[in-house]
Amino acid sequence: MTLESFVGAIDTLLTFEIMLWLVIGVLIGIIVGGLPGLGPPLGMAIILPLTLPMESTSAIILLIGVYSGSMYGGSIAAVLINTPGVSSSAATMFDGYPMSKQGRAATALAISATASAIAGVFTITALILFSPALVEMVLAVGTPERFLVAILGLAMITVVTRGSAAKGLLAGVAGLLVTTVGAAQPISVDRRYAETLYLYDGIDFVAVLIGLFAIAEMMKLAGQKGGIAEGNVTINREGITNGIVSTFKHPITVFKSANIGMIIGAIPGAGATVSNFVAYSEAVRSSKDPESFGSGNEVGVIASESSNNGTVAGSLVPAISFGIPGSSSTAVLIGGLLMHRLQPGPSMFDPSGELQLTYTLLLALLVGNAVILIVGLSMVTRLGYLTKIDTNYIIPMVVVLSFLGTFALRGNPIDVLTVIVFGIIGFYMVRYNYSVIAFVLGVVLGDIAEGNLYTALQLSDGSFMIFINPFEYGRWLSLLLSVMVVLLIFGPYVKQWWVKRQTA
Amino acid sequence: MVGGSMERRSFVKSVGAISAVGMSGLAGCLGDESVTWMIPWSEGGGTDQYARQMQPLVEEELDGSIEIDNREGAGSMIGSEWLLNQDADGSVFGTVNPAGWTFTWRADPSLDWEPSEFEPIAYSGIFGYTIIVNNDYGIENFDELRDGYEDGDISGFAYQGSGSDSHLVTLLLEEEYGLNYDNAVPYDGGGPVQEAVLGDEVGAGIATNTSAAEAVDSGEASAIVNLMDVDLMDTFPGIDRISNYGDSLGWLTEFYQVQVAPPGTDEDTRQEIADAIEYAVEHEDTQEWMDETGNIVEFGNMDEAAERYNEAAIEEMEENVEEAVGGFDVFLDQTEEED
Repeated sequence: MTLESFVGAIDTLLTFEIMLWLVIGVLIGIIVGGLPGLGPPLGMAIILPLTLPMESTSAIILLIGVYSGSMYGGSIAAVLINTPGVSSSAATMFDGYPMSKQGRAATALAISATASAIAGVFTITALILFSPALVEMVLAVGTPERFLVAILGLAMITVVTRGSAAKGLLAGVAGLLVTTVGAAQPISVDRRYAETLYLYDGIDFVAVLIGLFAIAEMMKLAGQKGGIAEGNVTINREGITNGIVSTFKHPITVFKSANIGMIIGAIPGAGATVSNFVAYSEAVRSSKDPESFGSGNEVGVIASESSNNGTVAGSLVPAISFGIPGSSSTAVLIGGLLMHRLQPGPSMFDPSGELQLTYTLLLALLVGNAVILIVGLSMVTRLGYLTKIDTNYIIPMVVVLSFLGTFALRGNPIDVLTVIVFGIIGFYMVRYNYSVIAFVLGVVLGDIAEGNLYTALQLSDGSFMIFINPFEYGRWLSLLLSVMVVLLIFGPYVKQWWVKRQTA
Repeated sequence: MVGGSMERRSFVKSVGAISAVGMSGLAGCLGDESVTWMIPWSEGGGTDQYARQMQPLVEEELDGSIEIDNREGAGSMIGSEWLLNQDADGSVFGTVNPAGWTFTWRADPSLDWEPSEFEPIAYSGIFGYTIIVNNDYGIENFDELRDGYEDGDISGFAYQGSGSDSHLVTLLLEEEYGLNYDNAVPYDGGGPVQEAVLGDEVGAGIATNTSAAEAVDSGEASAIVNLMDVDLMDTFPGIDRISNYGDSLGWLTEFYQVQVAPPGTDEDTRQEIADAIEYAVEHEDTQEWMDETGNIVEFGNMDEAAERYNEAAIEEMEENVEEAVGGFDVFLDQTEEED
């Protein structure tokens, strides 16, 4: 029956109409993802009511195409103008943009398309083969584990910080402080400033990212003549080949990052942004040349882009199997399923239920990744020329797009102010060698850590043993994550001590 | 559902719909401009889903374009305040969800406006709270749930955020209905509550009827108690009712999809929108959607919409909270102290 569903899914997918919707969805997604601040939830929500007259499979495939395409689209803005088109491509900026400045935009974009496509194909294949195990995993991950995943991400500050450890730590703590603005969820402590409603939900981290990277960089570029790319560079097909070859030369990074993306993506509330940073930090940690990250290391782009497309597959697990929306994007997707009379639940994985549709969606994602690769690679040289346009034209364009995109996030004027303030902060952080990455980790993970810590402690009546005592609480995954955090923080010091002792 | 081919007509219709994305300046009903439908929650939420389901039908009836504008934040207060300050020319209306909306408004002393300042249009649906329980416990009604907590067979009760309406419901369930849970745990929204119950992090919790339907379909949980007055037997056959164990909790657990307009919007314009909403509510597509998803779609006219959030409704809520926990201020102080 399962094989029958699979064959039926292939049959459904290989029709002109379905393929057309898939391609249209991916193309819309790439455009929406490339515009700072818009992102997949808004793009999918706009499309949603328009799918009403459509046949259900076509409608869901169109939505999934937008979702998948926007993950790749986000990297285009990240690489070319240091702006995260979507928050899940934030880590792509760290090395993608320096590559553009070095005249290697074509290589970075080719890496992005190739890594996204390979990771997408790999994770979707894994999902088709191992979906029952992943469904089990979703329910095994609870509040304490989500807190520890956030702490694991924060512990990565020790890995990604270059230069002064004290400055890195200070930047991370400053990032955490940003997340203390606004009502602390899920408790009712009101930490608004001046009782304004606009700060009730705190400072939006996407607005912070846009300020820190896009605006700060435009301030820096204002003092530079010529284009974003420094010196006289040529943009040719050789760069594309280099990007493809480079991706294939790092299969372990692709494999590891795609897995990180898929697993963290399957954890509701963690999502693509967290997996993006964790995968990037892991690439830095396991590199023989960690110092080169942040200044145009291709592996950084490979890790980031592999993880965010892997997340798409992972996030479908809780959405399809339990109707749990792990993110706004999957919430809209669930809305689409319901609108088209498809109820998320075990029947979506049942051969006598909707398994054929589930397979069709997964196979559509698979084909969607091929579309991403073809479209991505065919656009590379044209997009690369953006880095040669004079900054006098680029700066106003990026600034306007950043402000418009930020306002579109949730229509909150505070977000616009956030972009300005953090643009200035970002500019001076770079100038005085404070780690922007450490700061971003604090901003992205602070809320997740705080909310889940409170709920976890409420579950354990205030005992921190919930994180490390599986005999009392039955949470072995928590213990494993706790050990990983400790190893990540103290491992390098222990190793250093051990090597020194051996040498002595 | 899944088919290898697709009706040519529906394909052509879909292409037409999609190509309409970029079109602007469609003839609107209220002047020739598009009308903005403000939703004070993010994309994908329950209220957003209702609006997007009805949007094409409302457009059809108004013979114009509707733009859904999500203005989330501060428990729907940001969008509400924005709507309050828009021009009263019929170019904008929004959806609010009393009683939850009026509860959130009342709980925030910094707000200097009254819900009754909004002009009513209509209401288009109802949703509300139920209790869901993990299937591992084999609990089927409220009595068994109470016994389960008394005997220590089940642990943990989830609700959505400290100081919220579902927090007050949780306290009332303990004080007025004898539900002696060992540990009440706040979560950041309905999704996390649902997930916590499905994963057995807590044994039971409060979920809206729509997320309860998803939880039931997952096969991991059951909806065992209807906390609303609205009948849910069609969606959850045999579900117990909280009113079997005491007074109705409908004043706190039922939320209406009420469409409102900025102060001063004239009645004719509002009636035109109300007619379009009635058309959308009664359309067979919407009725089918209701049957399939368990979302309750129901039309209420302008007067009925006003009754959900007018001064009398707020006064009734004040009295009920006073009677239940000694008043809003006591509840909020108590919550702050606990946190």
